Amino acid sequence: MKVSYNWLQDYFDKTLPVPEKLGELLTIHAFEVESIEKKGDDSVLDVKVLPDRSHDCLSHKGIALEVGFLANIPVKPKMRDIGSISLPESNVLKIEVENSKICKRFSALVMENIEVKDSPDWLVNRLEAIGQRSINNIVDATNYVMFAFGQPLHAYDRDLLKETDGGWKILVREAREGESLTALDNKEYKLDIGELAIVDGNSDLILGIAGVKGGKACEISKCTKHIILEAANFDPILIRKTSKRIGLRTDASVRFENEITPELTTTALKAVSDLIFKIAGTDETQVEGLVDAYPQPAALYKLGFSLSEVQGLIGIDISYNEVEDILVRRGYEFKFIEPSDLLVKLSPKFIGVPYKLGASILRDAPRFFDCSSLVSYLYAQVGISIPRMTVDQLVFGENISKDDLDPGDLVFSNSGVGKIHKESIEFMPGVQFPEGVDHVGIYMGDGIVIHTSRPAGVVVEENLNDSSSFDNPVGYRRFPALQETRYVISVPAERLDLRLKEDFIEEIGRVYGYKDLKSRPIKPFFEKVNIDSSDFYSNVLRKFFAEHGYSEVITYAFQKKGDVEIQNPLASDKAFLRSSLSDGLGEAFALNARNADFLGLVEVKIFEIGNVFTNEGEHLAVAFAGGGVEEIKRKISELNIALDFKTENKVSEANFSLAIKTLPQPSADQKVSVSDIATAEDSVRFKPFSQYPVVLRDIAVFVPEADDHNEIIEVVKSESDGLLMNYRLFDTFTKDFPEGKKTSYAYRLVFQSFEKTLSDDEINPIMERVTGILNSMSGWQVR
Amino acid sequence: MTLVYNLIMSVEKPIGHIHPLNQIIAQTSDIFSELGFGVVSGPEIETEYYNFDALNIPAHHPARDMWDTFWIKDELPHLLSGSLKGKSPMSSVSETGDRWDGARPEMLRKLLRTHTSPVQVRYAESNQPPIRIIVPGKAFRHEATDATHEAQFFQLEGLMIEEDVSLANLKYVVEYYFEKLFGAKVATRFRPSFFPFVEPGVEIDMSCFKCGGKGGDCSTCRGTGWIEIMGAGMVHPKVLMAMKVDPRKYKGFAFGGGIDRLAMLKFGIPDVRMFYDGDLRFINQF
Repeated sequence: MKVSYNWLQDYFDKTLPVPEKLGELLTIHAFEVESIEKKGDDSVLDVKVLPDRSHDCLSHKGIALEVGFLANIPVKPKMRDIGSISLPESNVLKIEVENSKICKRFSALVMENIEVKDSPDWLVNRLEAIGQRSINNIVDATNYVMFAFGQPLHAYDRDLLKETDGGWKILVREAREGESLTALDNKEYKLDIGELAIVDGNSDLILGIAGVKGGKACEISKCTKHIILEAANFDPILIRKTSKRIGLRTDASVRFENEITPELTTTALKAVSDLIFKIAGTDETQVEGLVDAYPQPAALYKLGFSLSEVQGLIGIDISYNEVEDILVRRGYEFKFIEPSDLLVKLSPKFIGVPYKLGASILRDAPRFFDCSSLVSYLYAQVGISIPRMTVDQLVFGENISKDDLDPGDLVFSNSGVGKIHKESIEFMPGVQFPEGVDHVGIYMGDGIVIHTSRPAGVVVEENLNDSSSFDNPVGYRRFPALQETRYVISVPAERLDLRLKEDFIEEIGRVYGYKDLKSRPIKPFFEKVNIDSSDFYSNVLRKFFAEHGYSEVITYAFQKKGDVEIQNPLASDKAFLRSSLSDGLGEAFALNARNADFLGLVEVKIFEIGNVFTNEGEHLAVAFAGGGVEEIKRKISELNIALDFKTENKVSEANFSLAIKTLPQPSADQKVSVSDIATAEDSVRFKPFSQYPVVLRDIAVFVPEADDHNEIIEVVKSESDGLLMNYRLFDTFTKDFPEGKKTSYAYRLVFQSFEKTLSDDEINPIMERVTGILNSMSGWQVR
Repeated sequence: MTLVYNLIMSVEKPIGHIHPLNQIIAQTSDIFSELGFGVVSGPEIETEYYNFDALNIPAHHPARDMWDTFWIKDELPHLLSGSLKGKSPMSSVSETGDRWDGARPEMLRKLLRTHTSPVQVRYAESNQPPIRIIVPGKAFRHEATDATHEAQFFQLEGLMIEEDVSLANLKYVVEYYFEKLFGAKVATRFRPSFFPFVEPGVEIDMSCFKCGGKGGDCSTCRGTGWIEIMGAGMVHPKVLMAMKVDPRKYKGFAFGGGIDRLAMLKFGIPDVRMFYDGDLRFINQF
């Protein structure tokens, strides 16, 4: 999300910290700021908003609230809450939404007598700063409001829709077979059945692909006089699927697929109409009316947590004052309550509310309840989240006896009226409760229970012992959170990420600052440490191979042929998973054989341990190349590891998984130690190697017994202009000379340049100088 | 130019070299075993359920875009080395608006695991807390390769579930690990982040072991003093339930990071592709 610094400043009276400071503040407490770019007198922050905050923070307002929160600078009240539009219903526009599950809200505003022209400079600059092209004042206004509030908008030229009986109609329906749209980009997009189309209700012309792209047919032009402004809320999954299928990701589709609150539409319409009055208004400009199809308004969500829950999850000694300071700064509406007291006070208020089986907490409460939705709803009001279903409430709660019942505890029965559940469904699915349960009520103290049932028809207050619903009690439960003072937060509508207490604890933790988090040691572990057989025996083999001069390679799992095919390969020669290690290891062997001299190796020996994929399944394989095949096989069998090596093209490979199955489970004290297999010192740093060919020279020198033969290499080094890359001592023998014993040391010298291919012209002079120097040393003799 | 003298010095008994990634893994296993963490492994071909759904990454959720995935063509049920037990912990769209679609046949679709996190779920399904494990292993991401990106790489995942575990404990464990791995005193810095399987979620930065966090013209940390090294957080209650662990009783932390990146930092390796070239001019330096 590109964020304009100047735009953010609009939200505050006080001057914001400089962009770099702001970036740092956001990075440490909220989002990673990936870059800050200077653009004219503005700075643009590239803020990495992750999916959890894409509900509210793909907008300047969302970021501004966050900045105000973190920098502790108040947001201007009129920018925090601009209110929503309230207008008479339009007399000329009708909206019909076929399925309100996938289009929760469709709000539209009719504006008349506007003037389409270029946008004022300030608006052009704002949009350009965040990488948007200015089109005209109307389209720019809708874009501006989207980037300000996060609500996508669309403007239609009303006169290009079909007028019937002096009115216009927009229909939101699923696309039918063969329908397509010519979009604003002049491309044609075919719609699949079930995707959502915005349609002219009078002509059945497709006007747009809901939430993704608008059509050419009703495009705003210089001639446009009257407009219809759309602000809707579409289903995230449907929009995501459509946008993916047609391969079109737009600023609108990204916001919808991340889900935004339906509460936003009328706020955005208010903002956009205010702006249009300002930049496209004439003396005759007026808002004709609003249509708002919003059959099931979103319910307010409540969340609660206790201080000890914050302290326990984050591991900090945060105080009540610090928590409250954070809540106040963000402007959260919250209460600090005793849950059981409030529960007892609240519950009687719902006596008489009608019963509805399967009543939804989000949509029906508090107008309708069934037994468990009543309980779950009441607990939510005191900031305790419990499961929705009776059987899950029973499994979730702490078992108590009837004599221990306190106000707020739950009473369960098998009333025989509802469906009996014997197994938990949502909470820890599959926990058995053989007696079965179908009913729940909330205990008020003094033998009184409040509950609702189909026979009662409404929420009732009864004596527990006299209530026929509780003739057959099956359990009593308590939620320990009830005993502890709690904060209850009314979650702002746009914060769809705040749904669990953990979500809110994160909110506290990140603002408090993880930088002040002190590490706390973990307790000693007295259990048996898990030892993985595959890991253990792989290390046994690694150690074995290394001791026998083999180096380990890891080659690619992707091959051009194999048994298991990738549906979406990166390249056609990487379309399969390897069915054996042989191909990769064979290639590595050939590569290293070419470099053997450089490596100072007489013979290349390599091995690999890794998973391969065949028609029989996935297994761990081990393979090696080079060296004495029979000797290796014999020695491995002496380790009692039953590997059935097959040799082909110099590579010997075996199924290691099969062998591991027959081996005993290793115990902790058998562990292969790191020092056995890790050879690199902590101080080792990678050194680049040249891609140019090497030039080889052998040199053999007789050295008197008393002298240090290492001097040979020192001389070569000092004379070689940095071209000596490696060397290997390949032969020594001792011989008696008249002047005493001397040893012949024969070295193979490897010369190589990082800049070019070396020739004899460069190496011969070096060798001549080396020979001269060594021969001049007393008793030394180059052979 | 620098000489590469440390390749092979002995002619009589040449000693082979263990791949630097496996050296890091061995060292990592050792360090974590001191804290009671054992090593666990799992299959590289996974089901969609274990790789995503059980980790609270439902189908069609934008969070899925955080993991570019290789999908396996053709249904080969026998390729799956574990059975799909328990299915999804959630039934259809729940009251709280959760978008768990319940157990669907698509959850058995196969893919190359994009992280080693699925092994956590597999392990916890059959092992109740206390749990302390690490999962080093190969993972795959569908992305173009360059010096810092590879389609195959090694990931280190860690999990601790006990009755009383906090972010502060996580900080202790990762600092203990980094200090031992890099052989230098390091500090860590947590920043808020988002991974669907944890809440709260954090990004862990490690103070630069090279310049001691001073920054300046340090090339290891590009002058910032900090190195971004891992994602982590407190295990999400839904994931605990998918693991058949009771979220009322237990809490846990999880962390995950690239082993390739750890090795590149530790040894100053400039290009991730070198790990997979099979070239001893590279491997034998370690």
